[in-house]
Amino acid sequence: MRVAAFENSHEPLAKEHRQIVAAQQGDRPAFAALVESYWDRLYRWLYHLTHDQHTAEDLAQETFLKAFAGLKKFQAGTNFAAWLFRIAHNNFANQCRTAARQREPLPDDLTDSRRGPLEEAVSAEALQNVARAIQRLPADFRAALLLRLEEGLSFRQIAEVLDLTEETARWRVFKARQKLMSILAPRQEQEKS
Amino acid sequence: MNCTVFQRRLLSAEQPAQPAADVKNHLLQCPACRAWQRRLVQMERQILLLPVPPSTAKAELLQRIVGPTPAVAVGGATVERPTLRWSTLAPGPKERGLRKVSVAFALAAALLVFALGWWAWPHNTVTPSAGPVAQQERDQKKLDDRLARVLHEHTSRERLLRLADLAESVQGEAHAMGNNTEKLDRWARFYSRVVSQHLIEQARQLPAGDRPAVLEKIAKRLSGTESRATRKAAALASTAPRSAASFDQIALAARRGEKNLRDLMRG
Repeated sequence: MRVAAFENSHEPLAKEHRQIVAAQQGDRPAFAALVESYWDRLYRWLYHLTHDQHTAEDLAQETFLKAFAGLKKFQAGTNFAAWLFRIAHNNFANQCRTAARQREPLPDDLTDSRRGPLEEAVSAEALQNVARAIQRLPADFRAALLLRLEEGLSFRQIAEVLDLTEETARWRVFKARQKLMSILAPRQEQEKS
Repeated sequence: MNCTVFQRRLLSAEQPAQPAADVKNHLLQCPACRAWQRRLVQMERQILLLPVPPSTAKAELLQRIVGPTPAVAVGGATVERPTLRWSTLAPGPKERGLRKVSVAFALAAALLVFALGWWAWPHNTVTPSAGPVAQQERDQKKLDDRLARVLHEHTSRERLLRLADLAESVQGEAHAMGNNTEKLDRWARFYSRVVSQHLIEQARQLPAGDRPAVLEKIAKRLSGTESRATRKAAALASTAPRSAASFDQIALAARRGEKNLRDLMRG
Protein backbone atom coordinates (compact mmCIF):
# COMPACT_ATOMS: atom_id res chain seq x y z
CA MET A 1 0.00 0.00 0.00
CA ARG A 2 1.21 3.47 -0.77
CA VAL A 3 2.43 5.45 2.18
CA ALA A 4 -0.08 8.03 3.29
CA ALA A 5 1.15 11.50 2.47
CA PHE A 6 -1.23 12.69 5.15
CA GLU A 7 1.07 11.09 7.68
CA ASN A 8 4.43 11.94 6.20
CA SER A 9 7.53 12.60 8.24
CA HIS A 10 8.06 16.09 9.61
CA GLU A 11 10.51 17.39 7.00
CA PRO A 12 8.26 17.02 3.91
CA LEU A 13 5.39 18.47 5.92
CA ALA A 14 7.50 21.46 6.94
CA LYS A 15 8.51 21.92 3.31
CA GLU A 16 4.90 21.73 2.22
CA HIS A 17 3.91 24.21 4.91
CA ARG A 18 6.52 26.67 3.59
CA GLN A 19 5.22 26.17 0.04
CA ILE A 20 1.65 26.81 1.14
CA VAL A 21 2.54 29.97 3.05
CA ALA A 22 4.56 31.24 0.08
CA ALA A 23 1.75 30.42 -2.35
CA GLN A 24 -0.72 32.26 -0.11
CA GLN A 25 1.47 35.31 -0.53
CA GLY A 26 1.21 35.05 -4.31
CA ASP A 27 4.31 32.96 -5.01
CA ARG A 28 3.25 31.07 -8.13
CA PRO A 29 6.28 28.73 -8.32
CA ALA A 30 5.49 27.63 -4.75
CA PHE A 31 1.97 26.73 -5.81
CA ALA A 32 3.40 24.98 -8.89
CA ALA A 33 5.48 22.85 -6.53
CA LEU A 34 2.29 21.85 -4.72
CA VAL A 35 0.72 20.93 -8.06
CA GLU A 36 3.79 18.79 -8.80
CA SER A 37 3.40 17.01 -5.46
CA TYR A 38 -0.28 16.29 -5.72
CA TRP A 39 -1.16 16.04 -9.41
CA ASP A 40 -0.54 12.34 -9.96
CA ARG A 41 -2.40 11.25 -6.87
CA LEU A 42 -5.37 13.52 -7.50
CA TYR A 43 -5.55 12.63 -11.18
CA ARG A 44 -5.36 8.92 -10.45
CA TRP A 45 -8.19 9.16 -7.94
CA LEU A 46 -10.33 11.24 -10.28
CA TYR A 47 -9.64 8.90 -13.16
CA HIS A 48 -10.94 5.95 -11.14
CA LEU A 49 -13.99 8.00 -10.21
CA THR A 50 -14.80 9.19 -13.72
CA HIS A 51 -13.33 6.42 -15.94
CA ASP A 52 -12.45 9.12 -18.41
CA GLN A 53 -9.02 10.63 -18.92
CA HIS A 54 -10.19 14.00 -20.18
CA THR A 55 -12.82 14.43 -17.51
CA ALA A 56 -10.31 13.48 -14.83
CA GLU A 57 -7.77 15.94 -16.25
CA ASP A 58 -10.35 18.71 -16.44
CA LEU A 59 -11.47 18.07 -12.89
CA ALA A 60 -7.89 17.97 -11.64
CA GLN A 61 -7.10 21.27 -13.37
CA GLU A 62 -10.28 22.81 -12.06
CA THR A 63 -9.44 21.61 -8.56
CA PHE A 64 -6.00 23.20 -8.60
CA LEU A 65 -7.33 26.44 -10.07
CA LYS A 66 -9.99 26.63 -7.38
CA ALA A 67 -7.43 25.77 -4.73
CA PHE A 68 -5.19 28.54 -6.05
CA ALA A 69 -8.06 31.00 -6.04
CA GLY A 70 -9.17 30.02 -2.55
CA LEU A 71 -5.76 29.42 -1.01
CA LYS A 72 -6.10 32.48 1.16
CA LYS A 73 -8.96 30.75 2.96
CA PHE A 74 -6.90 27.65 3.66
CA GLN A 75 -5.52 27.65 7.18
CA ALA A 76 -1.83 26.83 6.84
CA GLY A 77 -0.85 24.05 9.20
CA THR A 78 -4.06 22.10 8.73
CA ASN A 79 -4.47 19.21 6.33
CA PHE A 80 -3.75 20.50 2.82
CA ALA A 81 -4.26 17.14 1.11
CA ALA A 82 -7.66 16.66 2.70
CA TRP A 83 -8.63 20.20 1.68
CA LEU A 84 -7.49 19.59 -1.90
CA PHE A 85 -9.22 16.22 -2.24
CA ARG A 86 -12.34 17.76 -0.78
CA ILE A 87 -12.36 20.46 -3.49
CA ALA A 88 -11.86 17.72 -6.06
CA HIS A 89 -14.72 15.70 -4.65
CA ASN A 90 -17.00 18.74 -4.70
CA ASN A 91 -16.07 19.34 -8.33
CA PHE A 92 -16.79 15.72 -9.14
CA ALA A 93 -20.15 15.91 -7.34
CA ASN A 94 -21.04 19.12 -9.21
CA GLN A 95 -20.12 17.50 -12.46
CA CYS A 96 -22.33 14.51 -11.70
CA ARG A 97 -25.23 16.78 -10.88
CA THR A 98 -25.06 19.19 -13.76
CA ALA A 99 -23.64 17.30 -16.71
CA ALA A 100 -25.02 14.16 -18.19
CA ARG A 101 -21.61 12.65 -18.39
CA GLN A 102 -20.75 10.45 -21.32
CA ARG A 103 -18.91 7.56 -19.84
CA GLU A 104 -16.47 5.74 -22.02
CA PRO A 105 -16.21 2.02 -21.52
CA LEU A 106 -12.93 0.79 -20.15
CA PRO A 107 -10.47 0.02 -22.92
CA ASP A 108 -10.43 -3.64 -23.91
CA ASP A 109 -6.71 -3.85 -23.58
CA LEU A 110 -5.48 -2.37 -20.34
CA THR A 111 -1.96 -3.58 -21.02
CA ASP A 112 -1.36 -0.59 -23.29
CA SER A 113 -1.01 1.79 -20.39
CA ARG A 114 2.30 2.32 -18.63
CA ARG A 115 3.06 -0.66 -16.46
CA GLY A 116 5.98 -1.76 -14.37
CA PRO A 117 7.28 -5.24 -13.59
CA LEU A 118 4.81 -5.67 -10.74
CA GLU A 119 1.87 -5.02 -13.01
CA GLU A 120 3.31 -7.38 -15.60
CA ALA A 121 3.37 -10.12 -12.97
CA VAL A 122 -0.37 -9.82 -12.47
CA SER A 123 -2.31 -11.13 -15.43
CA ALA A 124 -3.96 -8.56 -17.65
CA GLU A 125 -7.20 -10.47 -17.31
CA ALA A 126 -7.12 -10.23 -13.52
CA LEU A 127 -6.59 -6.47 -13.69
CA GLN A 128 -9.32 -6.15 -16.27
CA ASN A 129 -11.68 -7.96 -13.92
CA VAL A 130 -10.73 -5.72 -11.01
CA ALA A 131 -11.15 -2.61 -13.16
CA ARG A 132 -14.60 -3.71 -14.25
CA ALA A 133 -15.61 -4.59 -10.72
CA ILE A 134 -14.46 -1.18 -9.46
CA GLN A 135 -16.47 0.44 -12.23
CA ARG A 136 -19.58 -1.33 -10.99
CA LEU A 137 -19.29 0.16 -7.52
CA PRO A 138 -21.44 3.18 -6.70
CA ALA A 139 -19.30 6.32 -6.97
CA ASP A 140 -19.61 7.07 -3.24
CA PHE A 141 -18.25 3.67 -2.27
CA ARG A 142 -15.53 3.87 -4.91
CA ALA A 143 -14.39 7.30 -3.72
CA ALA A 144 -14.07 6.11 -0.13
CA LEU A 145 -12.33 2.83 -0.95
CA LEU A 146 -9.82 4.49 -3.26
CA LEU A 147 -8.98 7.11 -0.67
CA ARG A 148 -8.30 4.26 1.74
CA LEU A 149 -6.20 2.24 -0.69
CA GLU A 150 -4.52 4.78 -2.93
CA GLU A 151 -4.00 7.51 -0.37
CA GLY A 152 -3.80 5.33 2.73
CA LEU A 153 -6.22 7.61 4.54
CA SER A 154 -7.71 6.63 7.85
CA PHE A 155 -11.50 6.46 8.09
CA ARG A 156 -11.45 9.76 9.96
CA GLN A 157 -9.51 11.42 7.13
CA ILE A 158 -11.80 9.91 4.50
CA ALA A 159 -14.73 11.34 6.42
CA GLU A 160 -13.03 14.74 6.38
CA VAL A 161 -12.55 14.66 2.61
CA LEU A 162 -16.01 13.36 1.75
CA ASP A 163 -17.80 15.36 4.42
CA LEU A 164 -19.16 12.33 6.25
CA THR A 165 -19.06 10.91 9.73
CA GLU A 166 -16.22 8.51 10.45
CA GLU A 167 -18.68 5.63 10.79
CA THR A 168 -20.23 6.34 7.39
CA ALA A 169 -16.77 6.43 5.85
CA ARG A 170 -15.99 3.05 7.44
CA TRP A 171 -19.32 1.66 6.25
CA ARG A 172 -18.70 2.79 2.67
CA VAL A 173 -15.30 1.14 2.59
CA PHE A 174 -16.83 -1.98 4.12
CA LYS A 175 -19.59 -2.10 1.49
CA ALA A 176 -17.15 -1.45 -1.34
CA ARG A 177 -14.93 -4.32 -0.23
CA GLN A 178 -17.89 -6.59 0.34
CA LYS A 179 -19.26 -5.91 -3.13
CA LEU A 180 -15.88 -6.35 -4.77
CA MET A 181 -15.32 -9.63 -2.96
CA SER A 182 -18.70 -10.89 -4.06
CA ILE A 183 -17.84 -10.05 -7.66
CA LEU A 184 -14.21 -11.06 -7.70
CA ALA A 185 -13.73 -13.86 -5.19
CA PRO A 186 -15.37 -16.56 -7.35
CA ARG A 187 -13.19 -15.44 -10.26
CA GLN A 188 -10.08 -15.57 -8.12
CA GLU A 189 -10.99 -19.11 -7.14
CA GLN A 190 -11.39 -20.05 -10.80
CA GLU A 191 -8.06 -18.46 -11.71
CA LYS A 192 -6.31 -20.49 -9.03
CA SER A 193 -7.81 -23.80 -10.06
CA MET B 1 -18.15 -16.01 17.01
CA ASN B 2 -18.45 -17.61 13.62
CA CYS B 3 -16.41 -17.00 10.48
CA THR B 4 -18.88 -14.48 9.03
CA VAL B 5 -18.32 -12.20 11.98
CA PHE B 6 -14.54 -12.32 11.55
CA GLN B 7 -14.84 -11.72 7.83
CA ARG B 8 -16.98 -8.65 8.48
CA ARG B 9 -14.34 -7.45 10.93
CA LEU B 10 -11.77 -7.77 8.15
CA LEU B 11 -13.98 -5.87 5.72
CA SER B 12 -14.32 -2.99 8.15
CA ALA B 13 -10.66 -2.92 9.22
CA GLU B 14 -8.44 -0.09 8.03
CA GLN B 15 -5.82 -2.67 7.10
CA PRO B 16 -7.19 -6.17 6.52
CA ALA B 17 -3.60 -7.41 6.19
CA GLN B 18 -2.96 -6.40 9.81
CA PRO B 19 -6.10 -7.35 11.71
CA ALA B 20 -6.77 -6.99 15.44
CA ALA B 21 -5.37 -9.63 17.82
CA ASP B 22 -8.61 -11.61 18.23
CA VAL B 23 -9.13 -11.75 14.46
CA LYS B 24 -5.51 -12.82 14.06
CA ASN B 25 -6.05 -15.65 16.55
CA HIS B 26 -9.08 -16.84 14.62
CA LEU B 27 -7.13 -16.72 11.36
CA LEU B 28 -4.42 -18.93 12.87
CA GLN B 29 -7.02 -21.58 13.57
CA CYS B 30 -9.25 -21.23 10.49
CA PRO B 31 -7.81 -22.02 7.05
CA ALA B 32 -11.02 -20.91 5.28
CA CYS B 33 -10.86 -17.42 6.79
CA ARG B 34 -7.12 -17.28 6.12
CA ALA B 35 -7.80 -17.96 2.44
CA TRP B 36 -10.60 -15.39 2.46
CA GLN B 37 -8.32 -12.77 4.01
CA ARG B 38 -5.64 -13.56 1.42
CA ARG B 39 -8.13 -12.96 -1.39
CA LEU B 40 -9.21 -9.66 0.14
CA VAL B 41 -5.64 -8.43 0.51
CA GLN B 42 -4.76 -9.64 -2.98
CA MET B 43 -7.76 -7.81 -4.43
CA GLU B 44 -6.72 -4.57 -2.74
CA ARG B 45 -3.19 -4.93 -4.06
CA GLN B 46 -4.53 -5.42 -7.56
CA ILE B 47 -6.52 -2.20 -7.28
CA LEU B 48 -3.25 -0.37 -6.64
CA LEU B 49 -1.86 -1.86 -9.84
CA LEU B 50 -4.66 -0.65 -12.07
CA PRO B 51 -3.13 1.35 -14.88
CA VAL B 52 -4.12 4.95 -15.47
CA PRO B 53 -3.52 6.66 -18.83
CA PRO B 54 -0.69 9.17 -18.67
CA SER B 55 -1.79 12.77 -18.42
CA THR B 56 -0.37 15.77 -20.23
CA ALA B 57 -2.66 18.24 -18.52
CA LYS B 58 -0.32 18.81 -15.59
CA ALA B 59 2.27 20.44 -17.82
CA GLU B 60 -0.36 22.77 -19.25
CA LEU B 61 -1.55 23.72 -15.81
CA LEU B 62 1.98 24.32 -14.56
CA GLN B 63 2.73 26.48 -17.57
CA ARG B 64 -0.38 28.46 -16.80
CA ILE B 65 0.56 28.92 -13.18
CA VAL B 66 4.22 29.75 -13.51
CA GLY B 67 4.22 30.66 -17.22
CA PRO B 68 6.61 33.27 -18.51
CA THR B 69 6.10 36.56 -16.69
CA PRO B 70 6.71 39.06 -19.47
CA ALA B 71 8.74 42.10 -18.60
CA VAL B 72 7.03 45.44 -19.17
CA ALA B 73 8.96 48.40 -20.54
CA VAL B 74 8.32 51.55 -18.50
CA GLY B 75 10.03 54.76 -19.58
CA GLY B 76 12.88 52.93 -21.24
CA ALA B 77 13.55 50.74 -18.21
CA THR B 78 12.40 47.16 -17.99
CA VAL B 79 10.23 46.33 -15.03
CA GLU B 80 9.43 42.78 -13.95
CA ARG B 81 5.77 42.00 -13.77
CA PRO B 82 4.90 41.72 -10.09
CA THR B 83 3.95 38.38 -8.58
CA LEU B 84 0.31 37.71 -7.99
CA ARG B 85 -0.96 39.52 -4.91
CA TRP B 86 -4.18 38.63 -3.20
CA SER B 87 -4.39 41.69 -1.02
CA THR B 88 -3.40 44.69 -3.08
CA LEU B 89 -6.69 46.32 -2.21
CA ALA B 90 -6.68 45.39 1.46
CA PRO B 91 -7.99 48.27 3.60
CA GLY B 92 -6.30 49.60 6.73
CA PRO B 93 -7.63 48.98 10.28
CA LYS B 94 -9.64 52.22 10.40
CA GLU B 95 -11.24 51.56 7.03
CA ARG B 96 -11.98 48.01 8.09
CA GLY B 97 -13.76 49.31 11.20
CA LEU B 98 -15.82 51.76 9.17
CA ARG B 99 -16.59 49.05 6.65
CA LYS B 100 -17.80 46.72 9.42
CA VAL B 101 -20.12 49.41 10.78
CA SER B 102 -21.53 50.15 7.34
CA VAL B 103 -21.96 46.43 6.63
CA ALA B 104 -23.84 46.07 9.95
CA PHE B 105 -26.14 48.95 9.02
CA ALA B 106 -26.68 47.56 5.56
CA LEU B 107 -27.51 44.13 6.99
CA ALA B 108 -29.95 45.64 9.49
CA ALA B 109 -31.63 47.63 6.71
CA ALA B 110 -31.78 44.55 4.47
CA LEU B 111 -33.35 42.53 7.31
CA LEU B 112 -35.93 45.25 7.89
CA VAL B 113 -36.81 45.37 4.20
CA PHE B 114 -36.99 41.59 4.12
CA ALA B 115 -39.25 41.47 7.19
CA LEU B 116 -41.57 44.10 5.70
CA GLY B 117 -41.61 42.30 2.38
CA TRP B 118 -42.33 39.00 4.12
CA TRP B 119 -45.15 40.57 6.11
CA ALA B 120 -46.67 42.16 2.98
CA TRP B 121 -46.21 39.13 0.73
CA PRO B 122 -49.31 36.93 0.08
CA HIS B 123 -48.19 33.74 1.84
CA ASN B 124 -50.71 31.42 0.29
CA THR B 125 -49.18 31.94 -3.16
CA VAL B 126 -46.67 29.25 -4.03
CA THR B 127 -43.84 30.07 -6.38
CA PRO B 128 -42.27 26.71 -7.18
CA SER B 129 -39.12 27.95 -8.85
CA ALA B 130 -37.99 30.81 -6.65
CA GLY B 131 -34.54 31.28 -5.15
CA PRO B 132 -30.98 31.04 -6.33
CA VAL B 133 -30.99 27.25 -6.62
CA ALA B 134 -33.94 27.37 -9.00
CA GLN B 135 -32.19 30.11 -10.96
CA GLN B 136 -29.07 27.94 -11.21
CA GLU B 137 -31.15 25.03 -12.42
CA ARG B 138 -32.86 27.21 -15.02
CA ASP B 139 -29.49 28.51 -16.21
CA GLN B 140 -28.12 25.01 -16.44
CA LYS B 141 -31.17 23.79 -18.32
CA LYS B 142 -30.85 26.64 -20.81
CA LEU B 143 -27.21 25.78 -21.39
CA ASP B 144 -28.03 22.10 -21.80
CA ASP B 145 -30.83 22.95 -24.23
CA ARG B 146 -28.48 25.05 -26.32
CA LEU B 147 -26.05 22.17 -26.46
CA ALA B 148 -28.79 19.67 -27.29
CA ARG B 149 -29.98 21.82 -30.22
CA VAL B 150 -26.47 21.98 -31.61
CA LEU B 151 -25.95 18.25 -31.27
CA HIS B 152 -29.14 17.75 -33.27
CA GLU B 153 -27.52 18.90 -36.51
CA HIS B 154 -27.32 16.26 -39.21
CA THR B 155 -23.65 16.07 -40.08
CA SER B 156 -20.56 16.10 -37.92
CA ARG B 157 -19.30 19.11 -39.89
CA GLU B 158 -22.44 21.12 -39.06
CA ARG B 159 -22.34 20.01 -35.44
CA LEU B 160 -18.70 20.97 -35.22
CA LEU B 161 -19.22 24.44 -36.64
CA ARG B 162 -22.24 25.07 -34.44
CA LEU B 163 -20.32 23.82 -31.39
CA ALA B 164 -17.53 26.28 -32.18
CA ASP B 165 -20.14 29.06 -32.38
CA LEU B 166 -21.70 27.93 -29.12
CA ALA B 167 -18.31 27.87 -27.38
CA GLU B 168 -17.53 31.34 -28.62
CA SER B 169 -20.83 32.81 -27.53
CA VAL B 170 -20.56 31.14 -24.11
CA GLN B 171 -17.13 32.63 -23.50
CA GLY B 172 -18.42 35.99 -24.75
CA GLU B 173 -21.25 35.81 -22.21
CA ALA B 174 -18.72 34.93 -19.51
CA HIS B 175 -16.74 38.06 -20.33
CA ALA B 176 -19.86 40.18 -19.99
CA MET B 177 -20.90 38.57 -16.72
CA GLY B 178 -19.27 40.93 -14.26
CA ASN B 179 -18.69 39.61 -10.75
CA ASN B 180 -21.29 36.88 -10.58
CA THR B 181 -18.80 34.20 -9.57
CA GLU B 182 -21.27 31.31 -9.24
CA LYS B 183 -22.69 31.91 -12.70
CA LEU B 184 -19.27 32.48 -14.18
CA ASP B 185 -18.12 29.20 -12.71
CA ARG B 186 -21.05 27.39 -14.36
CA TRP B 187 -20.36 29.06 -17.70
CA ALA B 188 -16.67 28.19 -17.52
CA ARG B 189 -17.47 24.60 -16.73
CA PHE B 190 -19.96 24.46 -19.58
CA TYR B 191 -17.41 25.97 -21.97
CA SER B 192 -14.91 23.35 -20.90
CA ARG B 193 -17.46 20.60 -21.47
CA VAL B 194 -18.44 21.87 -24.92
CA VAL B 195 -14.85 22.13 -26.09
CA SER B 196 -13.14 19.23 -24.31
CA GLN B 197 -15.85 16.66 -24.88
CA HIS B 198 -18.23 17.51 -27.67
CA LEU B 199 -16.18 19.61 -30.04
CA ILE B 200 -13.26 17.19 -30.00
CA GLU B 201 -15.57 14.22 -30.37
CA GLN B 202 -17.21 15.76 -33.46
CA ALA B 203 -13.81 16.69 -34.87
CA ARG B 204 -12.76 13.06 -34.61
CA GLN B 205 -15.81 12.05 -36.62
CA LEU B 206 -15.00 14.51 -39.40
CA PRO B 207 -13.73 12.81 -42.60
CA ALA B 208 -9.95 13.16 -42.85
CA GLY B 209 -10.22 15.10 -46.11
CA ASP B 210 -12.37 17.82 -44.52
CA ARG B 211 -10.23 18.26 -41.44
CA PRO B 212 -7.55 20.75 -42.50
CA ALA B 213 -9.97 23.39 -43.78
CA VAL B 214 -12.54 23.12 -40.99
CA LEU B 215 -10.32 22.43 -38.01
CA GLU B 216 -7.77 25.14 -38.78
CA LYS B 217 -10.43 27.86 -38.53
CA ILE B 218 -11.79 26.50 -35.27
CA ALA B 219 -8.29 26.10 -33.85
CA LYS B 220 -7.63 29.78 -34.59
CA ARG B 221 -10.85 30.77 -32.84
CA LEU B 222 -9.86 28.71 -29.81
CA SER B 223 -6.47 30.36 -29.81
CA GLY B 224 -8.16 33.76 -29.77
CA THR B 225 -10.38 32.67 -26.89
CA GLU B 226 -7.37 31.47 -24.95
CA SER B 227 -5.64 34.83 -25.35
CA ARG B 228 -8.69 36.80 -24.28
CA ALA B 229 -9.43 34.55 -21.31
CA THR B 230 -5.80 34.62 -20.21
CA ARG B 231 -5.74 38.41 -20.29
CA LYS B 232 -8.99 38.57 -18.37
CA ALA B 233 -7.72 36.07 -15.77
CA ALA B 234 -4.55 38.10 -15.31
CA ALA B 235 -6.57 41.29 -14.92
CA LEU B 236 -8.80 39.71 -12.27
CA ALA B 237 -6.15 37.70 -10.45
CA SER B 238 -5.60 40.10 -7.58
CA THR B 239 -9.09 41.55 -7.21
CA ALA B 240 -11.35 38.57 -7.96
CA PRO B 241 -9.39 35.31 -7.77
CA ARG B 242 -12.49 33.10 -8.14
CA SER B 243 -13.51 34.82 -11.34
CA ALA B 244 -9.90 34.65 -12.51
CA ALA B 245 -9.97 30.88 -11.92
CA SER B 246 -13.03 30.58 -14.16
CA PHE B 247 -11.26 32.43 -16.97
CA ASP B 248 -8.20 30.29 -16.37
CA GLN B 249 -10.43 27.27 -16.85
CA ILE B 250 -11.79 28.67 -20.12
CA ALA B 251 -8.28 29.45 -21.32
CA LEU B 252 -7.09 25.96 -20.44
CA ALA B 253 -9.98 24.29 -22.22
CA ALA B 254 -9.44 26.46 -25.29
CA ARG B 255 -5.76 25.72 -25.33
CA ARG B 256 -6.25 21.99 -24.95
CA GLY B 257 -8.97 22.07 -27.58
CA GLU B 258 -6.67 23.84 -30.01
CA LYS B 259 -3.88 21.37 -29.32
CA ASN B 260 -6.20 18.38 -29.82
CA LEU B 261 -7.52 19.80 -33.08
CA ARG B 262 -3.99 20.36 -34.38
CA ASP B 263 -3.10 16.78 -33.41
CA LEU B 264 -6.12 15.60 -35.39
CA MET B 265 -5.08 17.69 -38.38
CA ARG B 266 -1.67 16.07 -38.32
CA GLY B 267 -3.42 12.70 -38.23
